[in-house]
Parts: sequence; C-alpha cells; structure tokens
Amino acid sequence: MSVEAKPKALLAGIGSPYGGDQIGWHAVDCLKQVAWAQCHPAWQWQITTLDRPGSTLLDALQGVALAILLDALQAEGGGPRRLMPDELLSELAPISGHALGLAETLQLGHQLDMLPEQLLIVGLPMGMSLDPRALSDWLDHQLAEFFD
Amino acid sequence: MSASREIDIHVPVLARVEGEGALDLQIRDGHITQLQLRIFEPPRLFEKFLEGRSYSEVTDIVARICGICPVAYQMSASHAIESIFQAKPGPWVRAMRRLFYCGEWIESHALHIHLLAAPDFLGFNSAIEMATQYPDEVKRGLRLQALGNRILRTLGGRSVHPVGVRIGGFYHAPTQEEMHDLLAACRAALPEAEALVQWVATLNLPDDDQDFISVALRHADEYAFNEGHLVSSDGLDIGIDRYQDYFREFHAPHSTALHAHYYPQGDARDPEAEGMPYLVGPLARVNLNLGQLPQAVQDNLAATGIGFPSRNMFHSALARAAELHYALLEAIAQLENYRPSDTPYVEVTPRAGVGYGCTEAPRGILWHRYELDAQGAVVNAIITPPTSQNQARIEEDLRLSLEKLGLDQPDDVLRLHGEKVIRNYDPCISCATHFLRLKVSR
Repeated sequence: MSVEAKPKALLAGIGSPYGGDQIGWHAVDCLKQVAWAQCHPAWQWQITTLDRPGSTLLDALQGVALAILLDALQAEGGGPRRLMPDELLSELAPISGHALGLAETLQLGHQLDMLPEQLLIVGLPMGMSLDPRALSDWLDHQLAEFFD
Repeated sequence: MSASREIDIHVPVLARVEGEGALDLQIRDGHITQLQLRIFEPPRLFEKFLEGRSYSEVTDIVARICGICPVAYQMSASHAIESIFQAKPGPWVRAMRRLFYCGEWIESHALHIHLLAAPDFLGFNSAIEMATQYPDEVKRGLRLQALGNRILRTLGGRSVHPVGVRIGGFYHAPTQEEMHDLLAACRAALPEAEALVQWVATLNLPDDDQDFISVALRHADEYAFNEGHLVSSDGLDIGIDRYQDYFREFHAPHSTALHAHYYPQGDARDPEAEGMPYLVGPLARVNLNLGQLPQAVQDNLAATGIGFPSRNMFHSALARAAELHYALLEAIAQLENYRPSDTPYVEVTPRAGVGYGCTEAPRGILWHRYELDAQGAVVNAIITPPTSQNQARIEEDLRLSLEKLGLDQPDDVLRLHGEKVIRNYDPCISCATHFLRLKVSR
C-alpha cells in the first residue's frame, strides 16, 4: 500500500517538558526509541508532542482516522491506563484560556464533530518510570483490543 | 425584596475567567455599601525570583508568568534590559518582535472572543454549549487561535512559555519556506478576521456608558504594540520611565493582587495624594489610537455602525475583534517583507543601570523596571501587569453596572451580570485557578 493510500494516524504526547506533566512527551520519546510506529505499518503515522491541548490538539486531529493521545494522569502509582471518553468527560472543568484541558477539548471536539473515528486515550500516572519496551508492548495490546 | 434581608450567595465556579477570586457585595437600603473583588495573582513572587539572576535568564523566567501572554512579558523585559545595555537590535529583530506580538494578540483575542466572552452575549453557560448552535463560529475561534499559536511556535519554539527569545533578539531565524507557508495561512485567515468584526457587532452587547480614563501606549508611526510613550484620554503624554510619577500600585487589604491608581497631577509618589481607577486594554487602545489603525481596519469598524471612542465597556469585545483584524494584517505585512537573517540577535555587553520596558499585552500595558549590577544580574525588578491596573476599574464598573441593573434584582441575576462585567475585561487573574465566591449581604 502506498503511503498516500494509508489512513492517517496521530500519536501525540500532551504536556510540557517540566515536572510530572512531561510524562506524555517522555512516552512519545520511548515509543520513538523502539520504532513503535514502524510495527504498525497499516497507518501513516504522525508522531508529535503538543504543549496545549485546546485548539492545537483539535487542529492536529483534523483528517486523522486514528488518534492515540498520551497524557499525564494524577494518580497514586500504577501503570498506564486506557481512559474511556465518558470517564474523562465526567471530570470536565470550566473552560478558561489557561485550562482548556484534554477533557474540555475532547468535549468541544465532540460537539463540533472534529474528533477522529478512532480515539484511544492513555493516562500515564505522573512520576511513573517508563520502560520503552514495556510501554510498546502494552500499547500494542491496547491497540489490538481496541480494534477487536 | 427587603433591603434588610441578608443573603449569602456562593458561586462555586466562575468559568471563562483566568484566575481565582471572590466578590463580596454588601447592599444596604438599596445601595452598594461594599464591593470587593478579591483576587490572587502571582507576578509579585516572580519579582523576587528574578533577584540575583543573570540578565540572560530573565526572558525565560518571565515567560513563565503567563501561558496566554508570555510574549508581552518577554518583550517588556527585553526592552528594559537592552536599554540598560544600550543595545540596538536593529530592524530585523524589531520586525520579528512585532510579528511575535501579532501571534500573541491573535491567539489571546480569538480565545477570549469566541470561547470566553461570546457565550455571555449569546445566552450560553459555556463554549461547549454554544458550539451546539454556533459550531462555525466556535470553529473560527479555534482556527484563529491555532494560527496565533503557530506564529508563536515559529519564532518562540513553542506557543506556551516560548523559549526563542534572548536579550538582543531571537536565538534563530525561521527559514524563508516556513515563513512563506505562514504567510499563506495568514492570508487565508484574513476574511475570517474581517467577518469577525461584523459578527461581534451583532452580538447583544449591553448598553452601559460610563466615565473612565483610558491609558495606552502610543507610537508616532504605528498602532503601538511594543514601543511608545504613555498617553491617556485626559491628556497625559509621558515617557515610560515616568510611569511611577503618575501611576502607583497599592495593596488593597481584601486582595493579594496589587491594585493601581492613576494620579493625573503626577504626584503618585506622594502617599497622601489621591488617585483614581483607569482602564488599560483593547478598548483603551482603540479609544486612544483609532487613527493609527490601518484604513482597512478603521473602515471595517466603521461599517459596524458603532462609533469609537466609546464609553461602553462592553464595546471592548468589538475593540478586541478589530485588534485581531489589525494583528493579522500586520503579521501579513511583516511576513511579506521577511528575509532570513544570519544575525537574529545582537551581542550585548552587560552594564549596571536601571531600565524600563512597557509593551501592550493583549489585556493592556505591561510595565517593567529592572535594576542590574555591572555583571548584568538583577538587583531588583518591578512588574506591573495589566490586570492589576484594571482591578480598581473592574470594581468601579461592577458598582456602576449593578446599580444600573437594579439592586432589587434576584441574586442570581446580579451574580450573572457581575460575572459578565468581570469577564468583559478578559482578566488574567492568575494563571491557574477559576473560582469566584460571591457573597451578597443585604
């Protein structure tokens, strides 16, 4: 299949380069290290890090059939977790310029019909240590289950 | 409703305002006897953080004060420090700084108009609700905000707390190709910016004329962003180094954020002198510098049928839209003339001294004063953000607006109108919190 014919997919780490918030970006680096995207050649991958979920994320989601979003999770211990959209939307905060977070952005995207058909949201507890191979295996499993 | 009745209203969440605050409202005999907007703002701590730091760290540190207007903080600091070092960054840096500023105005104004303010005027609780009936308008806001962020990323490396700025200029010059693509995106967005001005004029903006003093930067050759002298609607015209003769920050006991007053006689340093509230931001700028907007923006604004200067604070929304139109035109002009530079900054030589910087953040003038030692380390810093300057004006506006609305209105009507008044200033109350607790005592 030519690159042009493949459906577009987005792998995005959301956060910043500082503190616990950096784990989404770090996860993307780990997956790049183990060439995770090359193991899923059915998709035309765009791999990126985003510093503000709001309009930037919705912009990045345009024209994408599958999106995997990796974001920091405020949780005590544990490993990566697949988050269901409903679960996320129950945590909606009021919109402000500084706090158009992932949940609010996805709700807005839902209202505006701007979300991809396939959306896999991964929460990563802040401060957890990431092993690139283990993360890659876990995400493989999630993706297989997602399309099962 | 009995005038002696005492009612407490707790509004758990004030959405669409940057920051945390509480509004205490006391009504006696049909009059407001106490009105205090208590808010919390962090820049005071940053002034202490800066002490002892090298000049080379300042732009990265002050960028952390705000996620929406970091460029303003970086530009005010750069100008102040470069004035001490007697550095002359030259026309390339000046042009790119204007472009950088355009990005910030576009993203901040697009966000406020579409996601924070418009729901008030269209009768929705949030932009998410508004999106059900106005999807095209919300999408336009998101597109324009994304474009502003893209300009910030191009010069700053990232849109939140950008890192591309250094004293003397920028760390790198974008390629011709990057800027060519950015120019195409800006040109494509221009019809939307023009239409936005007309759309805002159709919103149900309350009619509420008030007397207030407008204060803004003015520049002889352009609509002022990042350079100029300070002017006011009552005839003030001073260099930015004289700011503290005419304006004084003070601590209001009910708020951790400083307030500021204007002293028209120039006696702000006299503790006995009495000052007054004043307005900074889009409405103040358009009121004072309307003639310096490009003709296309003036014509677009005139076509709305709403005249400027305006004394209606709710016309801030329209002023903001006109400024977005202007910022896009200015970005296009800078991009059309763009040529990459091998020297995107000038080297500077540290020296001791005191310097001032004042630029127009999206919400109004942002004034900085730095004292540096011979090595260029910060001895002390004063940062006066626009929301601190507007805070006394917001309280004054709340008092006038609520009295005009009628203090016998139900509490929830008073609360909603109070929130609307506050939101109209696009206050950046703090960078992290969102709560207003309103207590009405009758």
